[in-house]
Amino acid sequence: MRVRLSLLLALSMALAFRVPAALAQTGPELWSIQLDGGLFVLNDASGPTPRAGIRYGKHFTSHVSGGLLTGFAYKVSSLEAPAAGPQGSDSHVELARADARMVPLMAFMQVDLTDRFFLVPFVGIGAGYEWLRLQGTDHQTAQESKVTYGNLAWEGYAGAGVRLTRKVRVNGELYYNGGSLERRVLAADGSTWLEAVHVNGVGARVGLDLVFE
Amino acid sequence: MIRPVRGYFALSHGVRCLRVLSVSIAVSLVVATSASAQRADSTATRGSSVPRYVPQATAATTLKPSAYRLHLHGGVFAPVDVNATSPTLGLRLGRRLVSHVQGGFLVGWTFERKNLEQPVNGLPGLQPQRILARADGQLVPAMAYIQVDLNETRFLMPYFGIASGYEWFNLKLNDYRTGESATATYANVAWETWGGIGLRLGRDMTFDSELFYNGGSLERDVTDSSGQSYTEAVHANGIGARVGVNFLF
Repeated sequence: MRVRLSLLLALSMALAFRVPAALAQTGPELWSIQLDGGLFVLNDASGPTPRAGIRYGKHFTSHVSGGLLTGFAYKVSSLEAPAAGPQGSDSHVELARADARMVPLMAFMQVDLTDRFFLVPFVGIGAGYEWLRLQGTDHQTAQESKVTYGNLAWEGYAGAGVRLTRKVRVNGELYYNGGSLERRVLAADGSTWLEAVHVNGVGARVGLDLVFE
Repeated sequence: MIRPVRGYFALSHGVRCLRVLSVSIAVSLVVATSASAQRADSTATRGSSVPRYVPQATAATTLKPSAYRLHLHGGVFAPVDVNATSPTLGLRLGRRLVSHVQGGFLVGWTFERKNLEQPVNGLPGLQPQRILARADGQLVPAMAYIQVDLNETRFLMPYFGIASGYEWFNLKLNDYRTGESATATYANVAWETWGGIGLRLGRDMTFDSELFYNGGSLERDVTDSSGQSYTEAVHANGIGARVGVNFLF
């Protein structure tokens, strides 16, 4: 709520004081879409997670663009024990397994530090909502659980793009995702408590950025 | 999280060092710009073949400099007294007063949340945590400022500024085990200073990176159960870094 208030305040002041860059763009209306893929490493869990995403935005000026981003990260974790069998065999028995799927949906703003050169450094920030679907299976007790966590989250990224043509470039970037996704849990005694999963982590991704009118 | 403390404290050695650091940054920026200007003049007389950046605003001599500035920024703020680096957002809205000098108002918002947690179950991978207690701190400055842009025409634009005004710190505590909650608001006169470099992206826009220092001892009056009154203070001294876009219009 407070984040939305700050963004609304900034936008309304920009419009109220008629910032040209916030109101109009010279030349044709330009949009861009970035399709990216990469790896994400959570601070609280081991191992990298594959991730794919999209950024879709409008160019407000030749350097500033803004729009929406989304993505999908998938992580499988399992608890294993050595299987009984001949010595030297490398087989394991899966005792428990957890599948995590993370989906952000955020508004973003990006600044390209140049619009003239072959190499285009850029920085950006996104803020919005993020969901985590956690599906756990305990094979020993045959128990299954499916829970969804959600909360406000943010993302910051910086990288460089290699311009292939006037309208196509390849972007390589590092990013940080920050958030504490929560859900309310109803206890057996009728009380409720908050449960949280921290999804802070760093990642790297490579994307194809296409500009169109 | 910024901790409330009782009573009066003299400025710590760290705070004094940071003040000296801020002044040093400002002085170095002035020196750097003077050197840059001298070098630019000397190369001009020698007729250097290196192409020099000519902003469109100065190229078109009929255009007047833009009167207003809107600076939207985000970054991190780290209080001196505790280890709690926090995200911060803000804006500066100002007007060009004379050549190289602008003045106006700034507001900001810094948020920090700390949880007391306990692991929930033994599933592999991501570990959910039960939240036992939570503290949310929000710092909001509203100040008047003056900023000096050390040049207005070149590609790189060093600048520094100082602001003074009022600052509020809202602290909200929840203990989910006992169901207790408490809210307290501290406020006082505070100040801020910053120095940084802007990268000119066009005639009416720069991309700015800056370091800043926030100083203040925010207070509130408390009366305890015995009827005795005292003043409680939160030291909001800290250093931060932020990047932003500056629109000139």
